[in-house]
Amino acid sequence: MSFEYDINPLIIKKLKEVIQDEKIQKFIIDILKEEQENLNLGDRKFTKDYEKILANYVKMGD
Amino acid sequence: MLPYQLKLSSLEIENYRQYAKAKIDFSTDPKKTFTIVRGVNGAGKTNIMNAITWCLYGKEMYLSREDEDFPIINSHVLAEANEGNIIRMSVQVELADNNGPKFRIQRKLGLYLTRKTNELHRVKEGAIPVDSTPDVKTLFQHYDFSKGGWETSSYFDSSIKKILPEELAGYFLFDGERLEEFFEKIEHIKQGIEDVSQIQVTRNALGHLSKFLSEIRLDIKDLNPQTKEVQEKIKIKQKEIEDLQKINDPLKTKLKTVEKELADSRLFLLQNSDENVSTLQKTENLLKRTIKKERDDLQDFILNKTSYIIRHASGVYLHEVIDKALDRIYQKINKGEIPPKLKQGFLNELLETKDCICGRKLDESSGSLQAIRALQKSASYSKIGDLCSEIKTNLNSIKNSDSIISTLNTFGRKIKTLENSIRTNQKSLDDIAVKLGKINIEQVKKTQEKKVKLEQDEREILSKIAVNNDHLQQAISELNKLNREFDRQTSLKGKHDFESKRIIFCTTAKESLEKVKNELLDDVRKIVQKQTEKYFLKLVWKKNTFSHVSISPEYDIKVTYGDGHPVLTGLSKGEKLILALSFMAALRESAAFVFPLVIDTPLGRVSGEHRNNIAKLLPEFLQDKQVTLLITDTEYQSPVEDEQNQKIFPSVRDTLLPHVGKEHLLMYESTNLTSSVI
Repeated sequence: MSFEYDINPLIIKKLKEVIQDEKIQKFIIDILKEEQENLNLGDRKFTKDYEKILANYVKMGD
Repeated sequence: MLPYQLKLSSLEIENYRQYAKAKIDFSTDPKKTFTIVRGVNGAGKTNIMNAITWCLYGKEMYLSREDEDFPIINSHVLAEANEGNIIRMSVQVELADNNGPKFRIQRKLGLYLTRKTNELHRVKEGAIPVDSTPDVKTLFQHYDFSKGGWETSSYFDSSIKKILPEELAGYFLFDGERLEEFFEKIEHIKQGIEDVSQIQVTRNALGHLSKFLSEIRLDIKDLNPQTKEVQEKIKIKQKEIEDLQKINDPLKTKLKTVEKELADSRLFLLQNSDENVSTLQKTENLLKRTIKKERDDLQDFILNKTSYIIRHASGVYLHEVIDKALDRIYQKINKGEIPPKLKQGFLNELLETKDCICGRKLDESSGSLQAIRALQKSASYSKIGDLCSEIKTNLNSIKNSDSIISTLNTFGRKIKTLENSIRTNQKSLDDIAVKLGKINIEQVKKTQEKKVKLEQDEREILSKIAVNNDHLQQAISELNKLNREFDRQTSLKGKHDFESKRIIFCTTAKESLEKVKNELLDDVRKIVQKQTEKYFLKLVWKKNTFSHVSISPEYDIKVTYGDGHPVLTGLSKGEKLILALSFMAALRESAAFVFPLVIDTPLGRVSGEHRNNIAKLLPEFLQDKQVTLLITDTEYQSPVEDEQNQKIFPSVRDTLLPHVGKEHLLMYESTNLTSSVI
């Protein structure tokens, strides 16, 4: 699909204002994007997607 | 930066409800952002919105009570079809942005008629005739400029949700008659703020983060007996919460149905209220007076035109003969025969007074008189010459057929304008007569009883939901306590370090997101409040009367007088509509969606000066936004009478016209129950 759907800029602005930790900030943006996709794709199972996202932020042996 | 500045470019309908084949082109002109679709009641205005929502979501979201019992497919086509036939119906919506075509959305329905019986008009779910099997096909395409053509998407539903999610449709396509009622519910104001600002996405993320955290906790193995016990308790509590949530779902569905039926009943009672009947009667009287005056004017113009024709007919019909006569006269002029050198009148005077112009007396002896008599004889044709000069002047003025035709055209135009206006006003008058004729006292009484019952049902459902929510909150709080205990215990054990880190990370993210959501809700509420106030104070005509509009943290909306007193209950219908419109426009300001506005019956609930003011201010208020108004002839074309101030204002059409890019008329043909778009 050649068009993109963005998260409301107000949400992103507020996220950056409220959350200082960049890692948490990025993680939340990732899951919000995923939520947007979930919303669009109906009742798709979210756990696998969350697992995948979280794996980028908390790694075994860190 | 918002993702799309979408505009509707066209809507094509085939065999849908009262439409056999129809196409509406919307104005995409940035300077003329309004498209008008006008027609009498029953011509299919609301079904234009239904066609759009059916195409996008497969649902007719604004179906009237009358239409609910009719099949979705055109009744005439259905009646003509035979058993075993497949009838096809389709709706196609095309959207564009400022660069050109953007999306093409199509939904087609093929109906296989299993039996041809009299039962065909009866409908089952989705307004499908009972004796038929439906086959629905959807198509979503986006325009690819690099390829210069339409590209098909494999994901129809997800693509639609990217353009306009179903839950947001009501903020962009709405019924002006129901707006005020919709707006008076606090839950709707809250829902509106949450929906358009995508706060639901953060809610979903929070819910999923909780579930995700639970799954991490429940997946941890090799726990000591004490922690294992907590884990078991978490499992039980989660099940309890899921069960409680399941109870709410059907209750919420039932509540929606009750609310819709209640809204229908309230609207019906309002339309049939004494007040509404009186407004209809007033409009009827105004229309009758207007038509009478127009008929008198028309009669005058026709008489004037006829007498003008009689006066100038000779000039038109005899212009060849006149041309010839004039030609002959000009030949004489060229030869110097006319005008005469000596005028007959002058010679006659000399002969009569016998006084020469030099002062000398003329007598017979001098021979002067004989000479004059000879001249008189020789110049006898000059009588004709004089006459010719006169005729020439008259003939030239008669011959001026261009100016005659132009005058006749002016008469023609004035007569046509008056005839059109009489026809339109007569239609509006018929429309009102139908409305007044439909008022059924027995039905009003029954609906009143139904409304009371529905209100009771609504209260009961709300109370059940509230009780259930209390239990749910308590269970969630207990689960949180168990989770904290579990997290504390696992963090002490070195062997669960990785899981513990994941839990801590997700918990921090969840708490941060919760904070973001709450602050965001407050921010969006304030933005919407500020914009609503700005629009309302700009639009409302009693500018010095009101000073402030506020939306409390509980989503209670209040308008304040200049002296600080709240006035919501004291607002007139027109002011309430303005407030509701202001709120809807303000919501769009904080939305991530830009979808064109389609408003059904935008001015049906306001009359007099208020209607005139709204029409005047609407284009300013919805600047740069594509707007389609589905409007009755009475709303649009009739002059606006303000009884209170004894004034008559121009029609809404006259006021809006500079901003209207396209105008369509819906024509309903009762013989084949079909509407067409002109």
